[in-house]
Amino acid sequence: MNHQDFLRELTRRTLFKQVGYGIGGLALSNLFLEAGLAQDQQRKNPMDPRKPMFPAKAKSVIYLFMAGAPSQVDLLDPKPTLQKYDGQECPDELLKGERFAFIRGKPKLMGSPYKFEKVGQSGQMVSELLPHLKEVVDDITVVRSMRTDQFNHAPAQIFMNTGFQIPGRPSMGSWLTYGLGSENRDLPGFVVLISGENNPDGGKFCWSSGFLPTVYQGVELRSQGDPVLYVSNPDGVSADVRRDTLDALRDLNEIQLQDSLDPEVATRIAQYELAYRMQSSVPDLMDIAKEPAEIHEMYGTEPGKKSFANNCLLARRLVERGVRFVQLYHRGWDNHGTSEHDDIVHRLPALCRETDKAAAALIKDLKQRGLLDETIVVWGGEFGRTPMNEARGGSTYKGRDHHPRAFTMWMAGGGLKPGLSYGQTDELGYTVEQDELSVHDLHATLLHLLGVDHTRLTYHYSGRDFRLTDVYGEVVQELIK
Amino acid sequence: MTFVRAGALALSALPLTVALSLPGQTAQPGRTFEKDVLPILRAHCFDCHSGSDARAKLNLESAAGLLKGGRSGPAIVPGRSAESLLVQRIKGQGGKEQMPLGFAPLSAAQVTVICDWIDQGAKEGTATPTHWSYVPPVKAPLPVVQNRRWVRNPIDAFVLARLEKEGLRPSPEASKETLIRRVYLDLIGLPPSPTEIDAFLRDQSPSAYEKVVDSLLANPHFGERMARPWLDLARYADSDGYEKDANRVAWEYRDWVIDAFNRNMPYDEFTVEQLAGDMLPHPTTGQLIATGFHRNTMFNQEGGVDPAEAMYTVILDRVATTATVWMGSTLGCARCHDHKYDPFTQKDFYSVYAVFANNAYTAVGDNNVGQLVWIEPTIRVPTADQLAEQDRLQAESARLAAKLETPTNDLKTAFDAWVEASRSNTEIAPTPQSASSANGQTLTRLKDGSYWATGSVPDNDTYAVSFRGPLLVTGVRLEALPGEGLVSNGPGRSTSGNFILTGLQVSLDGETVPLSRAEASFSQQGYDSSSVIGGKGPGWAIYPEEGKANELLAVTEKPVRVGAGQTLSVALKFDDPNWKGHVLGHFRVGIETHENPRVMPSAVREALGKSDRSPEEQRALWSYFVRVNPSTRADALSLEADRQALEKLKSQFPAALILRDKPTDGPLKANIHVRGEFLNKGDEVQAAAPAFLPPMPKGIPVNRLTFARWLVSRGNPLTARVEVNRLWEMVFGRGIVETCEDFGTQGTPPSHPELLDWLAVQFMDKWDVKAMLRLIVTSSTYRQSSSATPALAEKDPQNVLLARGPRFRMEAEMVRDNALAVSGLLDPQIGGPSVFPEQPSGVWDTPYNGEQWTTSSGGQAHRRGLYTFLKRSAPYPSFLALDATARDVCTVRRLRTNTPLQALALLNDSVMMEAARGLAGRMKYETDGSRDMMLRHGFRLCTGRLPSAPELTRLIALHDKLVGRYRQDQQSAKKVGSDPDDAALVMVANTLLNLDETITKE
Repeated sequence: MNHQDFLRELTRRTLFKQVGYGIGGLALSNLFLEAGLAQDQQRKNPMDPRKPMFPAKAKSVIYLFMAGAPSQVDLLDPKPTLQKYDGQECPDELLKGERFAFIRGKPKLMGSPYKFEKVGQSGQMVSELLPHLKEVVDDITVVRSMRTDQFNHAPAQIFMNTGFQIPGRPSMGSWLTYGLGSENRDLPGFVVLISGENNPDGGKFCWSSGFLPTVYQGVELRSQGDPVLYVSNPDGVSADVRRDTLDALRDLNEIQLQDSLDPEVATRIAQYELAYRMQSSVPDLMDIAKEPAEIHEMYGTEPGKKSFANNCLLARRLVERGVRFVQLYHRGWDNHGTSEHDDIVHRLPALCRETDKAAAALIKDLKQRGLLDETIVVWGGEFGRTPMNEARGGSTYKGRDHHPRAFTMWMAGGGLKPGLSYGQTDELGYTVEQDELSVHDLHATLLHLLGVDHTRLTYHYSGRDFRLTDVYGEVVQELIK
Repeated sequence: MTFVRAGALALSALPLTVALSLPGQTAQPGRTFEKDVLPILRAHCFDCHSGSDARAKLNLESAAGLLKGGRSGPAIVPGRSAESLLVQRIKGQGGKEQMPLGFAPLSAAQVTVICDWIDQGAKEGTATPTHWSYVPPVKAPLPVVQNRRWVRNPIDAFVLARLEKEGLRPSPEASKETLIRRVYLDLIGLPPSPTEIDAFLRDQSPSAYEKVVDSLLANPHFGERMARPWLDLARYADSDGYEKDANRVAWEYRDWVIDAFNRNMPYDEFTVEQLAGDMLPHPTTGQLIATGFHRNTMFNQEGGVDPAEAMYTVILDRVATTATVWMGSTLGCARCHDHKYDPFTQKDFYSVYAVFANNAYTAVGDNNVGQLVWIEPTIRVPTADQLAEQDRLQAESARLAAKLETPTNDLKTAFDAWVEASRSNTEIAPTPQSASSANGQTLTRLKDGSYWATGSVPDNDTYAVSFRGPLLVTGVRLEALPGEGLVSNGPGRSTSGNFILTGLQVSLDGETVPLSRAEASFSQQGYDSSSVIGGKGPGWAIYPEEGKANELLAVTEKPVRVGAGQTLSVALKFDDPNWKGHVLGHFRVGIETHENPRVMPSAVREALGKSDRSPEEQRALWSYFVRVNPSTRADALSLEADRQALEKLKSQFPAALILRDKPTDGPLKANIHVRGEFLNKGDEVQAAAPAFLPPMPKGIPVNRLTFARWLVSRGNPLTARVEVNRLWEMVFGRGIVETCEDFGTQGTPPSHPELLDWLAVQFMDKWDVKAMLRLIVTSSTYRQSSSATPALAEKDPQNVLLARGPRFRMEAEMVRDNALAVSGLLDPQIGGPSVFPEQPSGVWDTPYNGEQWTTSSGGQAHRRGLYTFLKRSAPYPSFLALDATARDVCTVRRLRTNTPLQALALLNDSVMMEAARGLAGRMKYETDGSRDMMLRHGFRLCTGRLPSAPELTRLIALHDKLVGRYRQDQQSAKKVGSDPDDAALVMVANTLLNLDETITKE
């Protein structure tokens, strides 16, 4: 079809009538001329799904971001030696040249007050604070050798999400939707869900599209008000009224299209139709009350509540619908020990109660639906916590400072080796001793599982080709089935 | 199938101009390295194989480098491509991985070019011509064109020459309605009113259009229009960014920009004042405010941040932004290593870094608790009214102070008597009968009548202190006392030594005794002593006065007589919901029996106790005395009130963030940071211009001022080109250089190089921004209709050749401004503090509580978009949907997307509904109220023209259908409009505001 034919067809009224409003049809999909997407001339709609670069092991990601940074030595990386030296001064050689966020002077080592148990066929060591995780321990891959470069929350979270510590670069979810689009055209391809208390963090910079078109930025599904901003009609505007106005708008814009021959008009017509469909697909997605009782029991969900459990269930519903990247933030893990409200004796167990059951339920539920194979679940924070007690200003509450040198994450599904225990820290849990995994390595590996070569997913901006992994990152084959 | 993308912002790797002029891809004789091979290698291989750190030691930047080869030996064998290692590797032969590693292989055509060149002898070619943008521009003679009548000014000659070369004709001139709307939107960012359109339609004089242009350039909204994109460059925002994202007061800078454009400040001055206004001789307040340009950087104040590293990040941003804004250069790429594509070295980067890294700051906060931050200077900029009020208050205070400080003999006598009386009365009596804790602490009474709390620290507590009658009570005095053994010596038991007294209640045998006031010797900011009454406020706390004695006096409404056998109880409540364990550890409670008691500051109390007083102590006593002495009390209180008012007034002076340099001693220097890492310092370099560009003048120190002047010197090849290109892009939607932000080798080449250079040279004449815009918008090129013919849409979808006028969606703020303007809601006030228009609740979600988005009242909610408060972590959501950025970093071009979320925002945002109601009102009240007239008027308000017959028919159909629906559903109708017919009209207006034409500049 040449350009003239195309435009002629475009403006034929019958075309709309043939496909009705269910778009999806081939003819109308031609309308999705790209906007701001000149680097990819083939794609008509920026969110159209694209083939991966090579066969993918996974289609979607659910990233459980534990904002504030959970303590690895109390949850997943047991250190008997640390226990032994509990209360003694930290060795000088570990402190040399080290910058801490809050620790001043010479800190004391602090063993974990929690018991660890070897569980499952894989024999992973898991803390008593995570009883539900123990049930799925053979489905998860535990990486105990994570390291990052950043030791403050905002830069570290932004680094973990965008591969760079200063705001302004695209996040992983943005890169992936830019590279792969999304399987669902009626919902955003990159969704963010938030629970927990307010805490220091990188906020919206973490799901920014940076220099990529804003269409790829994470869309926050809110638990109060409109789940997606502006998705509800104004008061007194029924679906019928909205339909009437959209019909007129389409007809008038078509006249404009014929006159200007500006393809942006055609795109706009199509995007208004898509918006109309989002108005019903979003409420449908959010309506978890329809889920059976056993599902609510399993996750610990309560419809209408703002909770991590509800968000886990929503995450499953999102990937079920083909959404590419779902990111949950649960805030509050910043356990410095300045009071009972941020210590590891009171607060840490509470945080585990808020998250453990639902995270495990998510794995089980994805598995029972056959979705775990094509979905990657990632759990982790922006850095680890010190094996030493922080004792800021002489605080007597037990707590740990920020620690970028070593921390633990777990992943599951989507082509990862289940039950694997990867990497090792020293006997105090201070530094990585074996198989260090950088943030860039993690990104490279996750992209690889989704069929994307991290060195080839690039965007030209400000004089050079940028990628999520900057100039770093290796795919870690040992993690992959 | 061909897709057209006019209007969409293209970042295409292969710009149309290149596509049009690409030679055929058959073998060609006379291949040279520079012309044919280098571009391919640069695009695909330089990431690894260039510079001093080239992989495998193979540097492909020159033919010599290929001959020399790397670790595996020479890369080419001249005359024999098949034997050349380079060719084998890019073809993936020889069992080795195909190059470029990890990227798509070169195309067959590219491989052929390289093979041809090798087979033809691998000639170096002529010496590399310097990249076009690094050569100073010169005015080329105007090209000769056939259609001379079309040429209104030199712009047209260049554009037409190109069109004629391509065999294209310009489009006819746009209709007058279209043209006036276009030029209004371009020059003031607001649409013309129907009256203004009518006047233009009536004006048949040949200069009718030029008259409109001149009036718009003189219109004060011009400055707002121009400021909007400049504020993107300046990354202007109302908060710091990062985790704390604290609010900042920076709008004086924004208003300075608006004013500078309105005054048509020459661009060279505009540049110098923003980069180095503080270094000009005797800088004016305006010149200081201008330096706010670089204070707009984000700033990380998160607890535990290394302040030196935070400042390093700030300076990096200043260097990169300066290069982007004035030089169209990606100097930021050279932070970690020499630039891969452009001639910037890492040394260049840190030489410019040195220019900016001498900034002055003050270290504030306590490093021991990870709260040390480096704060750059701020000035206060009072308004004229505030200055007058300040003068008045200062004069009045001076008068009162003089009066009080020149005592009469009577007053001296009274003072001595008062001192004697007070000295005998410093003991607080009587002391309590008992004291107890409600939450298990033990309160032990010490010899001096004070109490000491022990036992585990509870989250909250209430202390009950009781006194036996008979007593006369006028107040209760609570002394918070320091004590060794408490954290920071107390007086609280919290981890900081502070406490929060959330409530103080006095009761007589269970009956509450009303209190009139509570004052303290010192109150922490935000924790004023007065809030302990009623127990609803934040309470009384004393940070940073930990370790010191302070007292609070609660005064009863009237004197209370406590009879014998009766008990007076004082309840001290410590129950802050967030700050647990903030209870008092050492304190004393006493009963005040004197009439009209006042809290006595600890300094006064101490001074009273001494017989030999220092002058300061004497002064402290005196000023306290005049306040309690009946004959001077009124004056003293007036003075106090005036001084407080003065302080308050000063705190309300708008702040402006400014740059200052530290004093220097010799040339500015900085260390290279190896790989850009903060902790990894390398060689020292001196402040200088990038080496390949014209040098700075000799003999004067290289600092920000020198650098700024160098940027706007005639010899600088970049600055003028970059700015005129941005002005062009603002109007045409696409720059002559499409990559406005990158004039380097990776940017797109100019579509009309001679035109760009002509404009740049012209611009440098007087750096006159208004004149340049006038030239552009009065050209025939600009005045063309934007409608495409099918042939034109096919041949030039992006309108690179300019055979038609510009047509593209308005930017976010303009969409809003236009909607408010056509609905009659817009408040045209220029400048002032940022405002809070309506937005959905819950968008602000910051980690620090207490911050609310409170919608501005009245017209303030309907100000132009550029005044909307920009919190970087939560930008105004409908702007974000329309491609505005959070202004984290400098944005030269906003991408222009077209998404369903935009549709939702424009359909459903309450601001758009308000605008629809306003528009419906105008449709009704500015016409005779007949249906067709209302619809015609609404359409015209939105688009600047009257609807065609089919358009009107369609609107009528919609209108009638909605009237029918709302008449059936009165309840819904009431939520939308005043009655069903009004509701229908509002929804028609909502539709009109969403028309593609309404939100498009064409």
